[in-house]
Amino acid sequence: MDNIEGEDKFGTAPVRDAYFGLCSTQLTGNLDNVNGFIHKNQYPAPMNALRSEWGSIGNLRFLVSSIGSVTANASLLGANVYNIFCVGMEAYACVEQDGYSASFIYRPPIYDGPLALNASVGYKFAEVPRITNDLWVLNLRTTLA
Amino acid sequence: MSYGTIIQQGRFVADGNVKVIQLRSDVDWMQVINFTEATAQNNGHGFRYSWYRGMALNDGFIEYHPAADHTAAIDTAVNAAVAGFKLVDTSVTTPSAPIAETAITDVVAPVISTATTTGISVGSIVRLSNDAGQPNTMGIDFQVGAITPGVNFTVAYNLANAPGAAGTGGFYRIIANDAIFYPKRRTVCNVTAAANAVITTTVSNGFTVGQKVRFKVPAVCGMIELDGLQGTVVATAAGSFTVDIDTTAFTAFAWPAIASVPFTPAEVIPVGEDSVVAPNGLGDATENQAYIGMILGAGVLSPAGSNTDVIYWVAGKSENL
Repeated sequence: MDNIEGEDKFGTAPVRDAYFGLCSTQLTGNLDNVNGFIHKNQYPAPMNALRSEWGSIGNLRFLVSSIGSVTANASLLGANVYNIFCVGMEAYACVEQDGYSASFIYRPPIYDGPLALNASVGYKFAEVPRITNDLWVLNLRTTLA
Repeated sequence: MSYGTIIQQGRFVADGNVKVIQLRSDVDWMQVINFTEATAQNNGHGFRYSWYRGMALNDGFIEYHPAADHTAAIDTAVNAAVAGFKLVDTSVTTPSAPIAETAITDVVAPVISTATTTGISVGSIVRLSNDAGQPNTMGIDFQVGAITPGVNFTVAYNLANAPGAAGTGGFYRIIANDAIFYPKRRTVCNVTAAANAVITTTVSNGFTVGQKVRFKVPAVCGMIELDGLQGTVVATAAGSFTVDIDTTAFTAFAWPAIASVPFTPAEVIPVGEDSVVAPNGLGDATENQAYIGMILGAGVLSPAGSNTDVIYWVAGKSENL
């Protein structure tokens, strides 16, 4: 990911070229407490950050998700172990077959039957996410502090 | 039909073992008819079984012949102390609540002492934790080998060496279902020095011949030369597989010592495709092997019947009131 140059704004800091770290939202509190953590709103140009981005440390920019990977009770003391997948550029890709991707289809009741009694929801997709080079993906594992 | 009852049905010939029936959706009721026993007049043999949502695990109604004729009686599986119906959803991988263990032996196939072996069987997966006496086996999944009910169980596959000290008490959790996608990441517990290395994992690998794998071996595991190498699975066996990597000149593999805690265990990570499971090259890692289904118990009073019995079944889904 490209760097974000510094600007003359209070409380901001430049962000250098970085890898992405993909992790669970459960880690946000711990990330906040890491020495040197730059929160997204401290970026000189936060509009250049991704919506799911939480901030950066060194050359890692963290993207969080509520479905981030967690291995339950897998530490020595039985605590949850969080997997932070650190990925390089083009470490993975998504093949969209025939230019088609994913569709989430919701039909409200008026379109689902003559009596408008029931709604329906479904999905279909024709895409294949692939790891293009597994050596460019590292798993940084941690428990909560 | 989408809001009425969805019905599936099938037929199989019993082989004397439990029968797993994978269903295309969740199920609210199921009926099983043993065609062979319905025709026969065997005293004490069940011929019709039924299950409804809300019944206890392993329960179900049993209709059977109470005499060597065509008269019928009814009982339940729990009351008759026989195996009935078990509804399963293998996509649920949440570990169980912690169960106390009192000791772990210091041998290559550690024996875990516990007063509670309920819920585990040969092949189950357990995750150990909180045993300060043997910290180098904590947090790692192990497959269960032998079980002495209410006394202990033994891990199925040998470590490269004994952990170094006995466990003094901690917990284990039952991992009800394995990871749902093929192929799976596994912890390596031994690697032989051979022209074609044989890798033992703490849990059955489930790989197929042709699967590409890569090894992550930290220095604490000895065989650092294997770290980062990629190989192809050329043979598989229960708990182990063989790869086309020559390890004869490598440092011997070792299970990390207690002094090495904390450490990252050696792992085998599937990469690439071209396996039997996904021959088209795009299916690996998207092969969801989870299912919703019913496990039918076997026996003369159980729905999966006895060897050679012809069984018909029907399952459905209906609105619960």
